Amino acid sequence: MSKDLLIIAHSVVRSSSILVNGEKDFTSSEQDFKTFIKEAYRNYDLKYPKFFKMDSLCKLAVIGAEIVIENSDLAEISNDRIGIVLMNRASSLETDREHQHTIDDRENYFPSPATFVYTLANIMAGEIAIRHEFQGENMCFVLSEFDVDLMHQYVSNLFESGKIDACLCGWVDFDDSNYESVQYIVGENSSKNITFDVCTTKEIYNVK
Amino acid sequence: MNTAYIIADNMISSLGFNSSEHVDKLRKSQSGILPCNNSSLYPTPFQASLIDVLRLNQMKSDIDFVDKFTKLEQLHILSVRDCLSQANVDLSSEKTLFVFSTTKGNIDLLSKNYVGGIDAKRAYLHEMAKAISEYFKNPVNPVVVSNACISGVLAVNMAKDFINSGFYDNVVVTGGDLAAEFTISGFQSFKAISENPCKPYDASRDGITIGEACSTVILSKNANGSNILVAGGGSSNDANHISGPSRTGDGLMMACEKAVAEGMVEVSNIDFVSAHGTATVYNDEMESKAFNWLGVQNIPLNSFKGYWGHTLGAAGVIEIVASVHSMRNNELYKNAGFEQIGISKSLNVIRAYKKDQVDIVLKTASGFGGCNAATVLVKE
Repeated sequence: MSKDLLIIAHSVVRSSSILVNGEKDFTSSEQDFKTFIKEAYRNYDLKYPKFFKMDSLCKLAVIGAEIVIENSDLAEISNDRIGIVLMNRASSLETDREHQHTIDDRENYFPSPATFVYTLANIMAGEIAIRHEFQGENMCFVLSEFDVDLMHQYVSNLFESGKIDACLCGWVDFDDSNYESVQYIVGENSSKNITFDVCTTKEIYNVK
Repeated sequence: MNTAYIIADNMISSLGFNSSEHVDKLRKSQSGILPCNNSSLYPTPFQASLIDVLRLNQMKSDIDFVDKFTKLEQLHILSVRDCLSQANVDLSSEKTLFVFSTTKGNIDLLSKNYVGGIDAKRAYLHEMAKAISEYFKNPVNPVVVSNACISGVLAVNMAKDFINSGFYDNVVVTGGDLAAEFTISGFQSFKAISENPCKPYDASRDGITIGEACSTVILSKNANGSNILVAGGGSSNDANHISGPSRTGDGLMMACEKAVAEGMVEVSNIDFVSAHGTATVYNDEMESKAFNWLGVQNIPLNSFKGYWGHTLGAAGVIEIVASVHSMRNNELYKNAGFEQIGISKSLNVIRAYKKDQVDIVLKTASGFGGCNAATVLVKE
């Protein structure tokens, strides 16, 4: 059995507010996601024009990942040893509906590659990987709800099999204007003593 | 301790409804890709590998409450049921897990032209998974892996891990995707679909052929008479581009290295590489670099896409199943559609069906989002 796994940092994005390690870090009075996430982008000064090409799910994932990665010291870890394991409920259905709309009518038929490329749930992991140059293990699950047990089993296994030294884990869901991102970095070294287990993950997820 | 045996399998595609029908056609190098002139799928004619609807209508007639299931769900039920006829697995056990591999699931439900009676909520992948696992009275929450075109390979790797960790005794991995209007229109907008049947690694290749398929493997901690193990797995991300493959092949190479290391095999001992080979110019080129880097350029290699097209979420599963049959029968199947090598780094593309000892297989996949995955299969 390897060393205990720890949660190095965590972030929560929901209801127009952002928490970092349990503390409120950014809030907006703006209820509309698109405006809120643009405000968050400016607040965290991402300087990443590609952001504006992304669909809502990817924007949510990239902001949630940005702040948790910024708060984790991963300098000692090789990029090909950092994994990304994400889960959600609605897959990419928000953008799926958009693509479907472009093909429903033969008289007004305009499918676009810029939309179609976002009709896969794992594109959010791809966007995070590109932004942070993470080249380790990838996995994207679609489930009825955030399954902290499955996350713990799957990610612990990746560490035990020696494939990763750190992992960005998360539940990132966007569906019909409802959204939620809970992301955390799991590693073997951290100044904060937060054990990566089912109970702690649930606490981070349910925090109001 | 590695004891993740493949104890049962099924393939459903244009080539048939079970594995032996597929093997017959693989031996004859017979492709299921045909011209398709169905304007409800795409306004102009295109090539595709489609499941025989008339045969499906006969096959599905004895599914209980068949009208409560979508076409894709019916395929999953038939596929899993075929596996159950080969191995005695208790699906009602808490120690049996269902893992679904799909990119788009019941995406046909989203269309305003959909005429079936199934609730639109089944477009949610987990709802589809639940409907099927409940049909088989499985008590565990099903898991859906939806990671573009590497979903099937990832799902099998995960099943292996969960058996080796003792979480489950049996894992049913079932992958499926339809040749839906949604998908065809999207790949057409990318100009990624060839006007001809796809030609993996060929000099004149110019794109993919969409295929629909459903395929299942049951992994078990008990051999049940099988001598084929899922021995190693790995995945990676190129961190380069969301819809284009890496220029260097580094991501695929890393995924393969991890699978080979975990499988405790030597690269030089691999007998067959079951590659992804979509037949786009850039994917196959990327693979040729990764495989030369890894050192498998002289090992017999094929892509099964020339037989049943790119089956997306089903691809990893159906191609692993075909590879298992290659191992069981000690035979190598021709890379259908291939005539003349058209990649910058050479590969040993299989030109004709032949008998050969096949004990170790490397299976790979790459997909949108920059993802790559590999599996090593070993015969005991």
